[in-house]
Amino acid sequence: MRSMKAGEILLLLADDAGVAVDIPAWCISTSNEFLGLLKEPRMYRVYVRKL
Amino acid sequence: MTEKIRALGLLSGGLDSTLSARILQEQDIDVLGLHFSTGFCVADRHRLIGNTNNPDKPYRNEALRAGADLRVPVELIDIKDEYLPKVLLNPKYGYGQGMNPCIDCRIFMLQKAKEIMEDRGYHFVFTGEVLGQRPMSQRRQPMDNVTSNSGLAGYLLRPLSAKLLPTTIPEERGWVDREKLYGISGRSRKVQMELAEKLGVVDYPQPAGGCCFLPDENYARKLRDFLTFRGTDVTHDDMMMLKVGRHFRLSDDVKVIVGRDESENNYLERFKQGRGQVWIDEFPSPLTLIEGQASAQDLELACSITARYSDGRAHDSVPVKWRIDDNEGQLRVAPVDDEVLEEMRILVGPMFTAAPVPKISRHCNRMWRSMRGGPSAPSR
Ligand code: SF4
Repeated sequence: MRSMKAGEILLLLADDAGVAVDIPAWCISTSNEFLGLLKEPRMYRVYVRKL
Repeated sequence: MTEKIRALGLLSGGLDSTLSARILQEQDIDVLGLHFSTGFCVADRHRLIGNTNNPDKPYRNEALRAGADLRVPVELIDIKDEYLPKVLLNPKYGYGQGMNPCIDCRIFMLQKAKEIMEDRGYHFVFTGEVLGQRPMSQRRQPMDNVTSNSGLAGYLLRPLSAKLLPTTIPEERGWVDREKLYGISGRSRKVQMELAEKLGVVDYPQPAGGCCFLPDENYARKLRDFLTFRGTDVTHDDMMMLKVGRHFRLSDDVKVIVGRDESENNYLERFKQGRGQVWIDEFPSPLTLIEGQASAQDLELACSITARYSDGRAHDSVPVKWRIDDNEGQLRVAPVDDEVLEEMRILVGPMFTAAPVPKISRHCNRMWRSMRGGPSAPSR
């Protein structure tokens, strides 16, 4: 995240269901934008926009 | 323009650390939360094995949740690799009720916090410690010990108990108003709960503590057994394996781990590499992993234990499949007798010390039990 520019979007791949609660919380605490989460059979795709 | 005061603190997301951060925010201080991942977090374990109380509500990271509630950025710092050799296996100040090296653990985390403070120009470090709250690490002398050994003497503020402790540099220099800090001590959380209400902190985990495996007696038994028989050549996978399943020692060199439910079986699947596997096709059964060089007798016993925990436990004999390296086969065995099973269940062993430990006999559990004069362990 540190090396990203404002406006860029991070795609995070995870196999831990906890990302559904942790990433939105992390986005609030660090003032980034949580764009959404896609649940796939064995993986979660999480999108975050750096603000 | 006056310089904004910046503090960083150990934020577990529990009530005390959350309140401490909130108290500093009230004094217009910029706060950063640090959350150190030791590899022994209870919620992480639930998440790893896919446990959830409610499918729509996965276990959350309390530090991140607290950060969101307070609008405080939180950094998660993975210290697992250093933590094992430097803290867990070699604690200068010993263990608490289980295998929790709390004093060394606090010192280690605060040393890391100090490095970040100095590198990034923070003014001081805070923690949510409360004088007298925990028997091992939160009495006055251990707290002083932690302060001096962390290298943070003068720069470590405990906002909840500050008025009972010597004045720190942040207070002396007026970065923090000591009058607005607190003088809380003891194990009761009543004052903190009242304070939480006053400061608008509404969401925090109940009860205090319980977020770390190491004080847990059950985990400590398995860890002591592991260290006794395997020594300190320990990997993270080894530590992870201790968090799941029923553990039975068949001999000095061989141990089996039996999954307790589907999520544990799935979890154990990940650790099949390099370990023997035992399972049953005919009935719902646990996955059992064998650690060590199993003899034919050990293998038969592992099959028999697996049969005992399968839905075929009432049968006279059960066909059990096994695989070790490239070999596989099937044994028809009787489910093991409960009395024999309890002889092998890993119970309280000799206290682990960093010094080499003597090998002990196959019937160590029975020996320890008779030494302790205790009854047989209850079935779990
Ligand atoms: S309970 Fe665990 S994390 Fe907390 S101080 Fe003790 S060893 Fe460290």
